[in-house]
Amino acid sequence: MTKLIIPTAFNKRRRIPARMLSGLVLLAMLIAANIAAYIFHHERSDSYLCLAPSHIAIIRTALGAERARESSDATASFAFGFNCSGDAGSDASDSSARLFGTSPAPIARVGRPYTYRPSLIQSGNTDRWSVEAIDAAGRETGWLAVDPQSGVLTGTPLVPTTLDVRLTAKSDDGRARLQQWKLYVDDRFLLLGTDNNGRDVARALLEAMQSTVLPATIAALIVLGVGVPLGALSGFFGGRAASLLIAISSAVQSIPGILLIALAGRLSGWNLLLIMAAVGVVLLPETASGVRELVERFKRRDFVEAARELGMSDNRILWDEIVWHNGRQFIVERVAQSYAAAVLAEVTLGFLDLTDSLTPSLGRVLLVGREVNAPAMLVPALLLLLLVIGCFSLLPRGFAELWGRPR
Amino acid sequence: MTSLLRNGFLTLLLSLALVVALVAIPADNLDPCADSVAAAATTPTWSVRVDSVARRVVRGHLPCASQLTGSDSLFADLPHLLRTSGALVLTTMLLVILIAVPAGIAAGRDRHNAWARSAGRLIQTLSSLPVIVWATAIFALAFRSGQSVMTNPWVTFTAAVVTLLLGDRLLGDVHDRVARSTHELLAEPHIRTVRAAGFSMRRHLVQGLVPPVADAIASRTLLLVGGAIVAERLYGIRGLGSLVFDALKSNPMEREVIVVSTVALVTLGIMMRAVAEGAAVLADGRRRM
Repeated sequence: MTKLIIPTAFNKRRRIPARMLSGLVLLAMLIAANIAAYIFHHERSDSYLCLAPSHIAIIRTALGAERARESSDATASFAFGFNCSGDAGSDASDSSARLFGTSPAPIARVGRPYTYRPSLIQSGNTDRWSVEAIDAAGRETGWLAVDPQSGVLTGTPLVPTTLDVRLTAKSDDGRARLQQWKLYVDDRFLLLGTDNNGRDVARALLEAMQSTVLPATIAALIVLGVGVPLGALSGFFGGRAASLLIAISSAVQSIPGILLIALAGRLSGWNLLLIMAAVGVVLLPETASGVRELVERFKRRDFVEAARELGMSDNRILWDEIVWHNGRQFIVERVAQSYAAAVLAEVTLGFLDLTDSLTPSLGRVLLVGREVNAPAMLVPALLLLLLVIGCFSLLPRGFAELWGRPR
Repeated sequence: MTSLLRNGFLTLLLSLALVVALVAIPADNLDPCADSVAAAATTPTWSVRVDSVARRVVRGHLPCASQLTGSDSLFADLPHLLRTSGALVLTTMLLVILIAVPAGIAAGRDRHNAWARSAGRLIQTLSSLPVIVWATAIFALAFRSGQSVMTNPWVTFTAAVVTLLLGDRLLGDVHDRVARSTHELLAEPHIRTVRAAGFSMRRHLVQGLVPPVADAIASRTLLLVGGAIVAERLYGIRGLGSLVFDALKSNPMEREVIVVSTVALVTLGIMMRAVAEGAAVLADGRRRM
């Protein structure tokens, strides 16, 4: 492995393994993303499940000053135009919701093609489609066109505006079916663009990071703070504590961990922090067992006897000589694995639709992206997940290289 | 057998603790037939809780049709659900053996063989990605090709097996263990003697590889069961995992379904582990269960 040479404060040349450096860079990126998420946290109600925040202002402008005063918060704005799932909202009549099997995207981007393929629940043989798109000034827009046979709506907006769109399907027997919605044309710059429903992907990911990466620290801390001392003490002093630890470890490992975590989540009302604590508890026995085996292996070595002969206390032998000097690689590896496992557990629960639907999470971004099949949402979310896994896979290897190097 | 019995006994104790916890935690509703709002107004006493849950769990008889299974008897549905989950786990395990063992032997026999090394690295890399990454990729690929993986049950099952095969660490672990064991085994004096005498070493190699492979499988069987229940839920396969997650999501929570499904899943895992450990004992006369 290539080793980078960087100067230290003492003007010595010290080698940092490239793996460790890569892991640290990834970790710095994760922390920076979390800090960014906290800084831009001010409008929590407009999460990725609803509209992108930049659209709130447009909605308010479109509604007019009087209505905007009434709708003092962003959530109230949705009631006028859209619901949180991005479907056509209260403006569309109830009957249209039953007649149409599809919902249009409420957001269009300036300079980007907008497409909507409507489908009727009970389609007639000779449906004729027509569209009417009127802006706030009452003028009809020219860019939105419909194919009279298939009903596919296409066009590329050129200026930001708000349109009242009325899509009508008429059959030969004179029956007319109407779908009506507000279409917001936005020209703001969005880093990662929007998904099929116009939601800001970058913001979705930032919010997801906030509720995924930092809470996972709880699980890692439980493993480090409880699992390691428990394993070390039971391994060094043995006795019934060690037997009990083996028993508990075997029993907990007999039940699929994800099931226990999901159960803890359900009983805690899908509280994220408690879920992470449950992840820590589920991972704890495995770490404790590993540390116990490691300490049992080392406590029979000659250097322990030599240390005793020199008058070192048991505590110092255990924590300094065995755990720190001989077990730290293993402990760092286990803690990093626990961290990655906690993130993965949270993402899995979100992806399985088992978490609170209003709490943003990486798994829920993946779930929404999968349901609406939005690669713009799926790809960055998957990359972010791989970034987390990669970071916590590289770091322990880097530490192993650093500590394992002959002095 | 002693360790297996101890594990089984402890798991039984843990399942019992789970039942007690489920009964003890105040419920919004203990009766799946009742209206949750009405039930929330009345707090059932301890005796009612114990009686209600224990009776349904022990007899496997639901007082009304369960919202999830659609039947009055949970135990009547259990064989079918268990069969589906078992088939998913067993098929994946079989494929792991068919892929990882030959690749591992090839990598272990000649460590300088570029093809074997590349195959090993590929297997390790693929199996390091989690189940949800593979599931998302399969869904996206299916959508790109204009098809759905959920329409045909065989396609759904195959997709779930592929997801589990690639997303679980078992494939990488078994490959790694087989490669290492093959390398060590080939350096053993009795194998070298067999080779020097000009005899086929296949039988000795197989005999020597069964214990490490069985160990790797036994230690990860329960994780494979955990992956299988996630795959079931992702692909909408009606198995125990799908049922237990639906029960967790249901409102009111169907506690007896969770308890029975969890115990059944754990039993499935322990049985498979016992089979793997049994195979290791049969292959290595020095070992005991």
